[in-house]
Amino acid sequence: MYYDILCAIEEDTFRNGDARPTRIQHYSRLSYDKMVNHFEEMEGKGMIQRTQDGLLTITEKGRKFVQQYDELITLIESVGL
Amino acid sequence: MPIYPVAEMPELQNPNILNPFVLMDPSVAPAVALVVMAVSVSASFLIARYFFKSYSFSGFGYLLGFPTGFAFLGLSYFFQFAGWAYAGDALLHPAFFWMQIILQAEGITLIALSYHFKNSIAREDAAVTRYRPRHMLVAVLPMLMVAVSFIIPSSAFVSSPYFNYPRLADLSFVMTVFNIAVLGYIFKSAIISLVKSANAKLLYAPAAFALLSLEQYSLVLTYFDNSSVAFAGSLVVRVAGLALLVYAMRHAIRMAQARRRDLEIEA
Repeated sequence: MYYDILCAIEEDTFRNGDARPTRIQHYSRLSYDKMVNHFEEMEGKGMIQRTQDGLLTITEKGRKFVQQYDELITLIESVGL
Repeated sequence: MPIYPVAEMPELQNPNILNPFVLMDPSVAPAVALVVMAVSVSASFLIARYFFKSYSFSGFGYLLGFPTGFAFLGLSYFFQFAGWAYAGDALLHPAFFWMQIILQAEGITLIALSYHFKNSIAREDAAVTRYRPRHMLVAVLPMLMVAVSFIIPSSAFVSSPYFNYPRLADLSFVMTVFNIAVLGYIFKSAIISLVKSANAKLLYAPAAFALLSLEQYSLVLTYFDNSSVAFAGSLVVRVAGLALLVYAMRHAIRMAQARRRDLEIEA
């Protein structure tokens, strides 16, 4: 789930220049309450940052997580699993 | 059946049947055995480490069989070397051989189980499950596979109070045929999955499992004619298979990194 949210934030930032929770909710198809809980957890783990006006950005740690997840999923797929 | 004291067992006069390293020229055998063991164990544990990391990171339970299987395979290669190193020891030599065949069969079975459970998950996702006898077979099959690769070698040991060399050699033949069948299943599952996911360019993994299967076939030939050439061939294809799998992993990681770089440049 973290991976989906982080990818959604990256995609939204790429398309619109910033990432808004409402659009992330649309991409990740989560209920608002669940999404806010995930944001809090991820912020606590240092993967994302929230500005005062509610915009989201990925931290270096979050970027590294996405990169590592991509690598490991590609690795799993490379053996047909 | 007469019971001989260990030192007088007639089968000890022909120990070649258990560890084919003794078929090789004694001047090169130590170096070959050590190098092949070191390369095989390192490659197996490297594969196990990468996939254990994938398992712990992704949390997909079905992945656990893959790294555990390769860890078992790595241990079996170590015991093959240990069996050769203790070729003169009437107790340790067959004991290490027994460990080797159990670990190898269990390792290959665990790898196959990863593919089996992955396919089961895909089938459950694809269709509404209706209870049929076939489903029962699918549920029982993993238990049977794990049990067969452990019970057959264990029963050979339990049924005679001492290690019976010819019986162990026959057992190794049975287990080698079992390994070929299980590796065939892995090959088929890997190739179908890669073709379905349009990953046909990445056929390294099925090729690697085909080479490991060829290793087992060469061991069957070694069993029948005690040929050192067939055994040397089995070592070459084993190392090639493991090296190909390591290469496939590194290739996949490099591909993911390149994809990421492209995305970042685009952004």
